[in-house]
Parts: sequence; structure tokens; C-alpha cells
Amino acid sequence: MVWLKAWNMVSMNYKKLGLKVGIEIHQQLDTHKLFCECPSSLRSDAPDIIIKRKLHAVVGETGTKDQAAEYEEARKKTFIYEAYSDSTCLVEMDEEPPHPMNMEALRIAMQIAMLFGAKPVDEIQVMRKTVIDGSNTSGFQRTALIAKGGSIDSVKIPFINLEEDAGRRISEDESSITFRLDRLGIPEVEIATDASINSPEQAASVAKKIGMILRSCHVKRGIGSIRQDVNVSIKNGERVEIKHVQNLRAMSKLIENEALRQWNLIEISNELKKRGVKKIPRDFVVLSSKLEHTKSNLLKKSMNDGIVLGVRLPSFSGLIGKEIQPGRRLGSEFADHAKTAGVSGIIHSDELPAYGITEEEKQILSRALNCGEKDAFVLVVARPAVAEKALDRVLQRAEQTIDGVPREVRAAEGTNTRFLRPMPGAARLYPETDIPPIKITKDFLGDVKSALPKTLVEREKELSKVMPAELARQIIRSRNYDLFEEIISEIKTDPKLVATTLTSIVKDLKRKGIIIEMSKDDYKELFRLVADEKVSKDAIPQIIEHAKRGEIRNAVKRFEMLPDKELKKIISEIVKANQGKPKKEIMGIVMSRVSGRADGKKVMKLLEKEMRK
Amino acid sequence: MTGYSQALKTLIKESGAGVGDRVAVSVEGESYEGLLMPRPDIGDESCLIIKLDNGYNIGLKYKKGMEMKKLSAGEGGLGKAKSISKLVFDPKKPPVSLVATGGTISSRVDYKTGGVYMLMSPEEILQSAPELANVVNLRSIESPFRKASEDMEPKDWAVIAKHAAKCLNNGDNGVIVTHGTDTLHYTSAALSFMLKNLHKPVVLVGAQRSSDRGSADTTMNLICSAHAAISDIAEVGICMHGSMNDDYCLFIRGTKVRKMHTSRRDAFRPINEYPLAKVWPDGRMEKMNKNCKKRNDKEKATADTKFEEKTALLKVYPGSDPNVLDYFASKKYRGIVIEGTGLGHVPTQNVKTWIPQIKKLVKDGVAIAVTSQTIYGRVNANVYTNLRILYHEAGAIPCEDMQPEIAYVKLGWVLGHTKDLDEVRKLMLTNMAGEITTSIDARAFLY
Repeated sequence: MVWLKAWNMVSMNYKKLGLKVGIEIHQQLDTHKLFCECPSSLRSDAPDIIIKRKLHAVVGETGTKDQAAEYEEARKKTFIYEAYSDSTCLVEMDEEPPHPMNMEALRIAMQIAMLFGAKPVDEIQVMRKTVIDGSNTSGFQRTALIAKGGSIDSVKIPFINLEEDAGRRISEDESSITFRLDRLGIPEVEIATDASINSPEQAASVAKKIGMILRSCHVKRGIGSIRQDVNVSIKNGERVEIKHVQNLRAMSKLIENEALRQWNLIEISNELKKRGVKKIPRDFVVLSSKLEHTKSNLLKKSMNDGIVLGVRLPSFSGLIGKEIQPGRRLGSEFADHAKTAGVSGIIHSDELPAYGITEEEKQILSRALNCGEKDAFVLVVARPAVAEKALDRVLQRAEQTIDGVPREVRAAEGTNTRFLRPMPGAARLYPETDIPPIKITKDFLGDVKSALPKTLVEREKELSKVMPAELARQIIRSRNYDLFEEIISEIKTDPKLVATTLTSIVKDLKRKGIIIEMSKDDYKELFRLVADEKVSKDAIPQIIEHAKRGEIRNAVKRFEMLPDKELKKIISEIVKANQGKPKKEIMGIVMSRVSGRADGKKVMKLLEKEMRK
Repeated sequence: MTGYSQALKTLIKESGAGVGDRVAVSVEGESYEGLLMPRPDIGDESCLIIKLDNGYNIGLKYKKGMEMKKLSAGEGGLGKAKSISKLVFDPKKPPVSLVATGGTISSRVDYKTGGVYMLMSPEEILQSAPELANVVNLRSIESPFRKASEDMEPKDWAVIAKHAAKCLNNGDNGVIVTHGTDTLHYTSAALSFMLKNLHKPVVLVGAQRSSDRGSADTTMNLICSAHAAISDIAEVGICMHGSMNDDYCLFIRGTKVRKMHTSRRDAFRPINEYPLAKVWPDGRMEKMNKNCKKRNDKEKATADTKFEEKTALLKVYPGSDPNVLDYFASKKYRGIVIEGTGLGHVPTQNVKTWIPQIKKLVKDGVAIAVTSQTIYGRVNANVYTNLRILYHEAGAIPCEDMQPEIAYVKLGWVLGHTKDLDEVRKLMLTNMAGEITTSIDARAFLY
């Protein structure tokens, strides 16, 4: 493909392409909610409180046109909030003013800020950031700037904010959106870099380093506890925000594909300008009658309760079908927009004949729409009002094509992105008068500094001194890392053994299909027993395999160390019965007999002694 | 600039900048740019508040060598409403007037400074509830005073009552009074007693959430109040959220209503009686109480606002000292409502018995009326010996099923008209504005 070749030439040089990337990370902190004492835990059982609210006009409401439109849309909806009488309170329901800020959350956030070298502000003022999507019962999100001027490598992190997470979107239908309040109010720290990152690889590496620093602190782990968004633009393109990038591997590919999309849109824009396209007339034509005898099942099915509505796109021929990302065409962008009006997709002339629509029918439609050779057309099939709305959206997007890249928010979809909503204007922030300004005292900062955790990079270096570097690398990146640190700080045991257990032993057992029931406390108890030499470390895999949750003591019974006397007796018997066999073989027999209830080194010592007899 | 420390005041003055102006500040090698903000009334007065370009306010501690430069004048208009589209009421809709007295419902936040300002023009009220124009022709909005409801005094009730009577007699279908919520039920009781020959609705309404947030309860409360104000329920009542949902409001009689929660939207609950009606924002109305007056537009209301301000409200409790009564006697008080315990008791047989003092005051012509701090239910003069002592021997007036605040307002109004204790007793025990319920609806408890 021609574009691919051309792309390969430019993509080699992101600098020339003018690629600019910024990363925004929201990380939940592992403490109770920010403005009340409710637990920060998500629930999947049925809620016992349901509250229905509407969004109201806000006095003096202004803002950009896009926002105003979105706002009007939101006002029509009913917001349903799900809550739990035993883990959410009146604060999340916006039925009680916020409590003072959770100082533990502030302490963790400030640690994070310091690890990025940011300077704390002297006094924090909590702000209200207007939100109009219903995700917060109050109509705004509480957020506070706590430090400024941080950095990671050479990339600047201008501001570090501490804010409350929003309600969790559960479902949506035509008239309502349902949110669950278990997530509302969970403290999260917002780390946003400036746009100085200039390659996809650098973005992934910076995101990875930010993640490592965040995980050095007391933050939540697991799905949903961290959200990564990226902002991408290229020269002559526009800033596009990509929401919810799942992982780092996807991140660099997503950025590359977004740069590719912008590059192609600029190419298309240049081509349209060359063709002299300035405006697209809104001439919608009902085409149902032209397709009465169509054999296309797709059309037949949807024409039962709808119409076929078409519009001519002057001089667009060949461009709608142009691939702008692997597997996505300009037509896919049009379809994204049409879908927001409630249709399932669009049909465009560049892809016809297809869907059972014949070349002949294409010509008939083309004539009915007054299309010339260079013109293209787009069809939608739906109820009249929906069809009209959908074509309006297509038209709007088609006109943006003339100018190049629209500023918008996109959602990650694999390593591609799709349209989500227009870029909102700057959010309006105003002071949260229910919470007094918080003075950052020297004492507080002293506390924060004295408890500053080592970064994971530093910690990895330290651990490499007491275990193989590869093992240190593995445990640092492991989900069990926090547990590892807890165990080795509480129990006098070999860090290498703990690391091996929590990485490769656990992994091996899982690979065998074994469901591990061990809790954190079970692991701690296990290592305590090993440290006290009550259990042999060789028995660890078997104990983990058989332990029922919370019953580690039972699981261990079978593996308790044999008293020396008994062990000596077994060894002596086996040596007698296997006279003349090599030491190695006898050792094997002994070890299988004691099956984990004796330490190997000790057995060898006793065996050698016995054989010398 | 009043909230700032002297050093900051001087720094600001020397820079020539005012609130809202764009300034550059440098301190200890760091520099900041943004809008100069006023100092909140709490927090560290030596912290300068700057609104950065990303919208966040931060506090910068004053340090020696701190420098400030005014970069440009602010857009101006801080604290003033942004241009609002003219919205005109339809003269064909039923005419209604609004009396704005202050409180959360008629305040708004200035988005830049966070300061709270009063909403005054009909257009501004409309901005919180544009749907009002579909319901009524809000032909006047007047604000006789602006007070937080905790600062309200009996003489303010008289002003509202007179104003409401004037509007009603000028052809309004009803009157809406916006008011702070803390003492809203005192005002509703006062209007109930003061407005005589009332044949149109007088609806009091407040808000538990300020109107700057999308979740404000103001909108639905105002719309439902408008529906209530043009209904045929010719009563004084409070119309606010019936539940935590934005679904319907309860219109509750002004003498049978109480603020029962500090912060919930549905804080106002009926006491000892079912609400007058449920009102939905789309205008549906479900009447729940047969005991209500019907509209009659031919009648004229009068405001009888005489009120004895030497009236007090007291509470007894284990260990309470009866000598407080002597204080009121010495200050020439004419009536005291006591919040008794249970069925209407005061400490009777112990060392700190209240009986002798009560006897003395009654003998001296002071009206002593007793209600119950249980809020729900009726006091009783006979069930126990101690009750018989209080009401039959000492001469206290048992206030039926009136809640303490309502009895207080009623006693003040009664004493404004007579000081004769027999007459006072008779009036206190006569139902004047729905404050006494002869048969208590069992469903009304904790409704």
C-alpha cells in the first residue's frame, strides 16, 4: 500500500512528524475515602439504596458551546445512584457536607509528589470542578493542587493533584444513567506530564517509571486502580486525548496509530482542498423508494420500520474508503459519529457494491443523489428522526475532514482509537467552601519526608544484593510485592526464599491448575513456621497446594519437622536396608520417605554420619 | 483584601492590584502567575491566594522578599452575575409573587472567588429554575430584608406577613416565600397565625444545597412550590423535597412541620399529621389530607402581626435548674414554653423541682405552656400524679400535640393580643391554624 510506504518513511522520524505526547495518570490511594470515613472498596453484590436525581440548571452557567450542548443533553437524563447502607454514607449521596480531608491520603499523595521532586504548596485549597455527566452526586468533583514542578527523567510534571474518584458507571439507557457510589470519593492522585514526550517508546517508558514510583507508595493495586490517558498531536494535527489505555504495551502502539491517523487525516484534508471542497450542502434525500426491490437483506430488514436516507459528499470519492489506521477507514470515523445518534452504522459509496447492494443499485442511488464522478455518498437506515440526526453527525464530521484533525476525546479500542466526544472546554474550578484551606506545616512535611518510601528502582538495587538480580526484578513487579515486603519486615527469614515462593513457586502451582487459597496472613504464618524451623522450607510448595483458606495450621501438620530422634531412626533403618548402594541413591530414598518433614541439608549431614558408622 | 495579613495587604497595595487582577508573584526563587483572589475567612491570613491558569487556587506563604507585580486588570465583574439571557414570564400564566428573604435558596457562588452572593432579579431566580416560566407568571420579586434564617427575629415575620397579604390582595394567586431552612418552620407557623382570613396558598421554600451545583434541590423545590402556590390548597405551608430523590415535594402545613435533619434534602417532615399534598415537578398533585381550606379568590387576607417578644422557649432535662425561670421573671417575660419530657413532665418530686417556681410565675401572671421534647404525640395532664401536679395545681397549660417551636410562636402571638391568663389558656387550647390535631393519624409518625 502506498500510504504504508509513505508512513514508514515519516514514522522513522517522530521529530520531523512533530509528535507531542503527554501522559495523565490517575492512581487510587490505599486508604479510606477522601472526604468521609467510608471504605474505599468496590462491591459486586446488590445495592440496598437507590437514589434518583436530575441535573439542574446552574446559575450563571456558561462555558463553551460543546459543554453547553452536552449539558443540555445531560439535563434530560435521570441519574440513578446505587449505594450500600453499610459502606456508603450521606456524604457520597450529597446529603451531608464533606468531612475534613483524609490526612492519610494527603500524606501518601505528598510522598508521591516528593518522589517526583515536586514542591508542596504552602496552603491547599480544595476546588470544585464542575462535572455534568452525573458521575458525581454533587455536580462537581473535589480536587486540590498539592504540589508543583515535579519531573520524571527530562519530562516535566507541572502539577500534582489529589482528588476524589467519580461514581462507577454501571449501565445506561435512553433516559437514565446508573452509577454506583462505592467508587465515589476514593482518593486518587493525578500525575500529568507536559507534552514534551516525542516518541511512542519514550511515552511507554515514562509511564512505566511513573507507575514504579506510584507503586512504591501506599496505593491500590489491581484492575481499575490506575487509569492512564494519553494526549497525542503531530505537526498540523490537533491535540487528541485517548482515554483508558489498558497497558504499556498497548500504549506505544496506540500512540503510533494515533499519529498515523492524524497524518492520514492531514493528507485527506490536503487532497480535499486540492479538489476545491469548501462546504457540504445539507441535501438529504429519502431513497427508500429506489430500493424497493433490493435483494440486500441488510436493507430489507432495517427498512421495515425505517427509511433509507442519503447525502452527497462532493469530491469525496475514494477518500471515505481510505484506510487511516490499520483496519479503520475515514468511513469508520463517520460511523462513530453516526452511532452517537443511535444507528448501528453507515453505508458509503466507496465500499459498494457490498452488503447485497449491487453495482446497479449503487448507480441508481448515485443518480438520485445527483452525484458526479468525483462525489461520494453516505446512507443510513433508521427511523426518520434518528436517520436525520445520524446524517447530520456524519455531515459535521465530514466538514471537519476539510480542516484536518478534529480536537476530540477518543477511546482506546485495541491499539486503535474511536471517537468518544468532543474535547471539552477548560473545566471550571471554584473553591470548595465546605472545606477550610489546609495549611501545609513544616511538621507535616517532616513527617512525610521521614516516612518517604524507597522507590522501587532503589529497592530493586538493594534486593539484588541478597538475591539474583532476575528474582529481584520479578518480585518488584509482582502483584505479591507488598506482601513480600510485609513478610520480610515482620519475620526473620530469607528474602530469597520468600521471593521465590511468591513468584515462581506460586506461578508453577497455578500453571498446574491448582487453586491457591492462601490469604496474606496464611503466608505470614507459613514463613513464621519456617523461620522457627517447625516446617522445612522444602515443604512449602506442598503446603501451599493443600492449605485451605485461614487453616494454614492444619495444612502444616503433615509437614511438621520430624524430631531428630525419629529422623535418625529412619535414616539408620534405610541405610541398613540399602547397604552398598551409593550415597546419592540412599539420600533420595530418605528424602522421599520424610516427604518434606526434614531439611535436606540436615538429612545429608545425619546420613553421612550414619554411613560412616 | 480584608482577610490578608498586614504584610500581604502592603504588598498588594504597592503592586496596585485588586481582586481578580492578573499578577506575577515571586518568592524564594519560584514564580507564579495567576489571578489574585480574596482571602477566605478561615485559614492562614499570611497565605496569598492565587488562581493559576489551570483553575486551581493555591496559597503562597508570605516570606520576606516576596514580590508582586500587576500584569493586567481582571475581566471585572467579579461577584456580578454574567450576562443572562432575558427571560420573560407569560402574562397569561397565573400571577404569583415571590418574597426573597435570604438563605441558601437565594444565594449563589461566584465561580471565581467562591464568595456567596444574593440572587435578586427575577432573571437570576429563573436561571436556577427556568421551568418556573411554564407554571406561573412571577410578576414581582421583592426582598424586604436579607437574612440567614438563624438570624431571623419575630419582627421579620410581621414584615413577611404584611407583604404576603398585600400581594394576595393585589390579585396574586399565591405567594412564594424563599427563606433559609434553619428556622423556616418558625416562620411558617408565624405566618399561619398572623394571616387571617387566608384563602390562597402561601408557600415557604428553602434549599439544602446551594444553587451553584448541578445537584441543587432549589430547582425542584421552586417548581413544586409554584405548583402549590396556584393550587386550591389555601394554607400556609412548606414545600420541599419529600425524599432523597428528585421525584416529588411534600407540601406540609406551616404549623405541623419541622426541620428534622441537618443536611438531607428531605429534612422537613410533617409532625402528628399527614402532609397536605405530594407535588410533582410536572404539576401532578396528590392531596393527602382532607383537613385543608379551599381557595376563594374573592376573600381578602389581613395581617394581624401583634407579637409579644417577651416569650421564651426552654427545655428541662435531668439536672436542669428551675432557677432559670427566675431570670425570665426578672426580665419581665410574659410567657414561657417549656419542652417537657415524655407526656409533658418537668422535674417534680426531687430537689430541683420546677413546680414551686412555675406556681410562682403563674401567680404573677406569666403564662407557662408545656409541650414535649419527644416531638411526636400529645402531652397529657392526667395520666400520672406528677402531671396532675403540674397542670392542675401549678397552672401550666398542656399544649396538646403542638411541637415546641410552634407552641412558642403561638404563645407569642396570643400574648400579643391578650395578657389575661384565662384568655391565654383558652386561645392556646383552641385550634387556630391547624396546629392542634384532634385525631392523630397513626401513619404520620416518622413519616
